[in-house]
Amino acid sequence: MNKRNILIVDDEKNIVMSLSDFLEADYNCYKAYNVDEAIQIMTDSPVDVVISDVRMPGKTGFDLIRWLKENKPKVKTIMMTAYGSDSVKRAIRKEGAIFYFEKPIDYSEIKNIIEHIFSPRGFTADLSGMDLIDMLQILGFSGKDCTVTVRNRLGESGKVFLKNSVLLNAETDFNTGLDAFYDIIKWESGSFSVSALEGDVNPEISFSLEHLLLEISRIRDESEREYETAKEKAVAGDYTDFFKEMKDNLEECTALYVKKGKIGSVIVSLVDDQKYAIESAIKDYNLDKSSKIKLDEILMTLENSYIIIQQLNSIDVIITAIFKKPCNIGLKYLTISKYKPLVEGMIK
Amino acid sequence: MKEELINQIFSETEGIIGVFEILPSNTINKFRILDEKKHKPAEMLPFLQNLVSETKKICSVLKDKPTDIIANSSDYTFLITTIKTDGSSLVLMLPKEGNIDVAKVIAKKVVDQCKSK
Repeated sequence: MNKRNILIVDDEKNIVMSLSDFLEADYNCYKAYNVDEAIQIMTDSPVDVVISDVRMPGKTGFDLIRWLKENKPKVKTIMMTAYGSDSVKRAIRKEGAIFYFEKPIDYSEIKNIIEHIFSPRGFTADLSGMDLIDMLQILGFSGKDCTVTVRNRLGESGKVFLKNSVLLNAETDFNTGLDAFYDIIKWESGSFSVSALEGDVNPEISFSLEHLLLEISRIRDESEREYETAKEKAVAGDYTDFFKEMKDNLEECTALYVKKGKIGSVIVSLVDDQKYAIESAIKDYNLDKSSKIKLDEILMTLENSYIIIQQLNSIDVIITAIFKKPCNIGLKYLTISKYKPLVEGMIK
Repeated sequence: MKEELINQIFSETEGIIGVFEILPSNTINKFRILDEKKHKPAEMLPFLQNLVSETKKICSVLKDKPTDIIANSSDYTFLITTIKTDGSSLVLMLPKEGNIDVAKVIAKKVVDQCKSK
């Protein structure tokens, strides 16, 4: 079978040489040290995938992507940069690269992505080392008609339906349409598989996937800013404001309790609905009473609600959050996990 | 619980360490634990009893009923599924990195089989 052709473009010669050495057992590798050389090679030779640095003297990786869009639209592009940030990432996506890596680069990951690009069949992947948005973007650019089934680490699942770079619909156990899509995108760990597009999909969304992914990058930035605000409050030791902020970010949280474990004193008790006021039970709740097994976290699924209990053993603090059903509990779990180090830093 | 059902749980749940039953009275039946020297039943049983009784307290305040509980310690993941017909619970004990998705499916299958008998 003929080998596929890869072009590696970077002004750092050692990266071009070492990446080429790594890939050449499986692919024909062309080498270029600036954009003009890269364009010359692509004019003369068939290239399937370009792996390019962003910043190079003279023309940049963005110039190369724009040239490719106009002259070689079928060529897929993977970008590398030593100057990674959300804005650079957004700019790279906007220009149309299907994937980007921050230097120093794990060559095995690049190889995995190339294999995915050339893979004609379905695949499964572990989300812990990969961003779902990036993978959706690959699928969007490939124009593939497919169903992406995503499972988070709590076993909840969702589906994203793509047709010719358009998001037709999405569904989780609780939502359909855009709400479901945003829920799935927020899952930070889990696994996913890609299969043929299911035949009976209702095109409830029908938006350009590219447009939606850009919107999601913006939402993620906003969420990061909210988290930073909470962090400032945590550093200032402002317990109540900090936990109010946390509860607001949790949405659908009807009660949030934080208590010092052994003493049993409730540090914060925020309850929306007295129906969920279980402060006395939480105060007495003692997970350490009997054994050497130290619990880190509990997720209780009740008929009408969910309860997440996170035990911060290092500071002897227990966070309990109650959520009214239905809600995306996987998302809540991840949000609380994100706040844990801040709480640990604040309450010592 | 019948031996064949426990065999089924062990054959279908990769990495599973133990299976228990918690009766409505809070009595715990240990069905099987692999490598009891390493995973000591004497530590598991009071721990599970405590977990279930504390959970019941919260549920009674909330006037709600538990469907299932996932509890993670530094070494283990416990999946406690309520078998509603008689109020007892099935406990699957997995290593921390065990596949909780598979465990949930198996537990549901077992609970359904128990209900249908």
